[in-house]
Amino acid sequence: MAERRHDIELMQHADGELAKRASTEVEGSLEGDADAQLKVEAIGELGELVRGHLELAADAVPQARFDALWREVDKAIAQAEPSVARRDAPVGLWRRISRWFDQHRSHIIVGAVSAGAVAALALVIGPSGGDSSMSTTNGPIEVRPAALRSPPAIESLETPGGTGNVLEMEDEDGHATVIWVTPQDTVEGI
Amino acid sequence: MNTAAQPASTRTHGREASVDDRDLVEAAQRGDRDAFKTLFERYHRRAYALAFGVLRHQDDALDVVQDAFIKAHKYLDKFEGTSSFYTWLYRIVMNLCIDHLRKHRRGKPVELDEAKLEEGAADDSLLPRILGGNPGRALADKEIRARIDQALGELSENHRTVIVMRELDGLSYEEMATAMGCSKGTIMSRLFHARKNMQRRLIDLIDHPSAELLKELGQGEDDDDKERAANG
Repeated sequence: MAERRHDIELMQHADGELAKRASTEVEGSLEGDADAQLKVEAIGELGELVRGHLELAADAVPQARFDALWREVDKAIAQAEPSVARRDAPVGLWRRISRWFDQHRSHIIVGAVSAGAVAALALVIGPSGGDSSMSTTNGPIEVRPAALRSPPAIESLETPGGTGNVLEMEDEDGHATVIWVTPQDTVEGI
Repeated sequence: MNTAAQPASTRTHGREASVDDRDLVEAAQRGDRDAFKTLFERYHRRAYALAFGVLRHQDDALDVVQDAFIKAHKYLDKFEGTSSFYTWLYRIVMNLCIDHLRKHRRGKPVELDEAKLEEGAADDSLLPRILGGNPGRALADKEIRARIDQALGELSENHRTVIVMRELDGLSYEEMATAMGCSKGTIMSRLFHARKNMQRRLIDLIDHPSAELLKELGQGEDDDDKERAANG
């Protein structure tokens, strides 16, 4: 058992696996121990034999086998490339939106909750009177007159079942005649 | 990882070998297929050596290498360059090997006390014996290579995996523990038994070396010379 432990230490030394101090101690003990020296040499020799044998075995394989092997590798790479290209291809709008949403999901939720809170606060403390200056869309639409060269000539017109006016005017586009008829059974403006 | 370990082959065809792996990876990440091919050319044999060492079967090892490079390309955009490209590829190869072993395990799973499963557990020490000379030259002997191959094949999957990781790419105990999903102590124990069992399986090569090995190591010639000198 002690010999085995000693041999394992020799092996660790030969493999460079001992700490510097322990290795120096083994190195010192080798000087007076011919058997131990031979064991360390034998480890090195065996290593060279195994390595040499495997390298020669590799060199014995005809190059044609490896050429054929490369063709198989190359073919497999070529087959795999479309999927790589697909992976790199530009993605659609919906996919990009989904990705963006996935990435910013937490920010969106926080933002939505904040906006809701602000809206609720505005409803609670906002103006309650009817004199809001915000809404102006219900007033009359301002109509600006066309740029006329001279005031229009207006003539009254009698039509069956109603009345009318004929307006003759000159503007920058030239002469224009407008006939405005108002039936008697209708309310103007509707 | 031991960056000094040389790859089984570093042949490159598409680009100069001086182009940095990092530049090639960046180019490949931008869709440059030639850049990735250059990475393949640099490391395919090294990756194969690892897979073959663990799986012990040529076709299985080639399948793993193929899958590893396909996987590496697929996840290239995830490679941040904190380690070398090979270290990253190494992990992919190793994971695929371990998956393969799990899926195709035919025998019973490895028991907790692995030491007792392997022959020679009673003799719990490393052998103070070496082939001597030059291991690189010894590898030229077909018989030795066949014996090393056989010895690796006879190890348990876990023992073989640690010895391959350690000897081929110089992984630290910590790196091996991460790769195999076990403690550093377990790795140390597995490596110790793997080495001890390899030694025992190769011992007769040391005690009774073949004439070819002796010749390779230059010992045969010395003996002949001695004999000639003795005979005058």
